[in-house]
Amino acid sequence: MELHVFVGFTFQEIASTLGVSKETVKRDWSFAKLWLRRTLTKGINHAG
Amino acid sequence: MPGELVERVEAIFHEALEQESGLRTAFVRGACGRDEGLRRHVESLLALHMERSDWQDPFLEKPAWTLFLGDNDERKASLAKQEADPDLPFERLGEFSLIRKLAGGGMGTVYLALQESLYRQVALKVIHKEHLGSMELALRFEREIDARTDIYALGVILYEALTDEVPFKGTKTEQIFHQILETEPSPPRRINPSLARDVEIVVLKAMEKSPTTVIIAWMISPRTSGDCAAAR
Repeated sequence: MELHVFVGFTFQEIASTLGVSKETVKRDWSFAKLWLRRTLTKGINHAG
Repeated sequence: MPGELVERVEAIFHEALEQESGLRTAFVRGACGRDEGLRRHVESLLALHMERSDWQDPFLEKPAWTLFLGDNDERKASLAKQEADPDLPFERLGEFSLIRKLAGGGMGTVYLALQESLYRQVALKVIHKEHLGSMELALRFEREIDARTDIYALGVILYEALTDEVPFKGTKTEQIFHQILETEPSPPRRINPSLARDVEIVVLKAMEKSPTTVIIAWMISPRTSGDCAAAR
């Protein structure tokens, strides 16, 4: 999230930096985005 | 939110997505066991995922700085359209390519220029030849980009936060640069009359164009309130 949003890296650049596959980056990215979206729309106690 | 919980939620979430949609609920219940909190986390994320099947939405897809500077390609395209004034004394200086003159004074000239490494427009101040080698001027320039630059920026931020308006407006970058260099912003209290006079003084002081004095410290407290002059 930090590397993409604040540094501006592409998924490929993040994959190279972290030593993981691009698919892993994309998978983690969509999950993080989903989590953030839930927090932003439903608040911190989203799961409660 | 403990990292361990997030990892468990993520693992079950991804595994659930690999299941056929009709089997997901049972899978999540089985994977979470008696941990109700864990199950609610996974289920709410799955529901949101299904609700928004279009994950190509723009949410966070572009780097944060594009929110302020615009998309890099769009910016490059729009900046590339800018034609340099043919009457400029020179075309470029280091990584700055000049676009047009904005203002001139006794010490130097200010140009609108394109900083190529960051592909952004900047106001570039070039000192006159006769001042070259002047240690006094060199020191003045160094002073100008010290903490006073930060104080100016803080003034602009405070101005906008207190008035809901930016101090200098314009549709073109050069218009805004020109205003920054040549005009004074409207006093904040003219826009927001409920603002304390002392606060207005601090904001305008921070944004002063040729600051000869610097606010050393400003504390908003009953003791200092009403005695802003002492803070200057």
